[in-house]
Amino acid sequence: MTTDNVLGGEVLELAKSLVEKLETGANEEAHGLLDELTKVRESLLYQEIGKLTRELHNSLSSFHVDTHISDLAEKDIPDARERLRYVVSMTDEAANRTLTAVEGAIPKCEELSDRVSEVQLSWERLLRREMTADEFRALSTKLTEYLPQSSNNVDEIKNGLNEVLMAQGFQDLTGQIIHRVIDLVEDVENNLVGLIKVAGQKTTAPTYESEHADITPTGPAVPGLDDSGRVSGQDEVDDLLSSLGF
Amino acid sequence: MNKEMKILIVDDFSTMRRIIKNLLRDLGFNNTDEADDGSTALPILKKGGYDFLITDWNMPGMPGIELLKAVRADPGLAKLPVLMVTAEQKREQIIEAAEAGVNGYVVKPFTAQVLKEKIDKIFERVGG
Repeated sequence: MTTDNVLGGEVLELAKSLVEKLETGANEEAHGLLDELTKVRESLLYQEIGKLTRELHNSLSSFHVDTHISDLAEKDIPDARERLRYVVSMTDEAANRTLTAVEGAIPKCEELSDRVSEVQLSWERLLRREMTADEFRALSTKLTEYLPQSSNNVDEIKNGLNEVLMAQGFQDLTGQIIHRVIDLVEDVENNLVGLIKVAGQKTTAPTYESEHADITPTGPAVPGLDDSGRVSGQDEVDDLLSSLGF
Repeated sequence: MNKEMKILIVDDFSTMRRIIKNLLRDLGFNNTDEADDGSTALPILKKGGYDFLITDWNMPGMPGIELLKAVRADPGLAKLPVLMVTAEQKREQIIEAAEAGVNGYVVKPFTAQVLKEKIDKIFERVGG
């Protein structure tokens, strides 16, 4: 503004004397004044161009200085992709480990249950004094065989349960990795906002278009993030379906 | 309900297939097969002999909703009972599945009890 005022004053003064010279018929001097006026205007233009050039230069160099952006694109994002793949493989492994343990333990439980039922029948006959000496000997043999077998089964079931317990460790590990990826996403977001500012465009809060009749699969809903237009559980699914005549 | 009925489980995650298979076994259904998406499931179904289809929605290749539509469009399969077991829970999706002729809809994560209820309900209706 001050440059404009100074220039304005200078131009005004030149213009005044130009009028004076023209009125008095001093044409040669008037031409000289006109040239001077043009020079003043040109210098204003040069100053503006200079200012723009400087701004452009600063923007470009801040681009180069901030290698963080290129690091994000070249290193961190592929890195995050790998982390997330690892999360998928870790959860896969944990689920399979758990399922294997459960599949191993269930038949052991069934064996135990079958043996107990069998012994219980004989035991009741014994209590009612309906058992012959031969049957009693058979029961004794069975018990001698069953007791260590059952103890063995219980140990195996317990190992299976421990395996299930240990497999849950994936939650801690994947949780940590996912938190790191969330931090990275935040970082990328901030850099993008900075980039938009450098580009000189206004940043406004993002607007999300409502998803009308959009049935594209989106995977599990993340609470607080994907709540709109979604049912919150099986009960709501049942309500919706029964409203449709199911 | 016929415990010998042949069931096809379709899900891209093998862990989920295992979970469903184990739950079905617990309910007395031992005759199960698996497929990992709609495009592998459809030829299996077309070979015939299946009494029940349990499918996920979100799968690479052919998603569950397209499988459902293909099943309903095939004269040989049109009456096959279909249960959708999925994490997709947008209202529009549930309505779309209902309109496409799904017989039941279970959202993940689900319990063994919910799965059993929905299967019982489906076979009560179709009189199996």
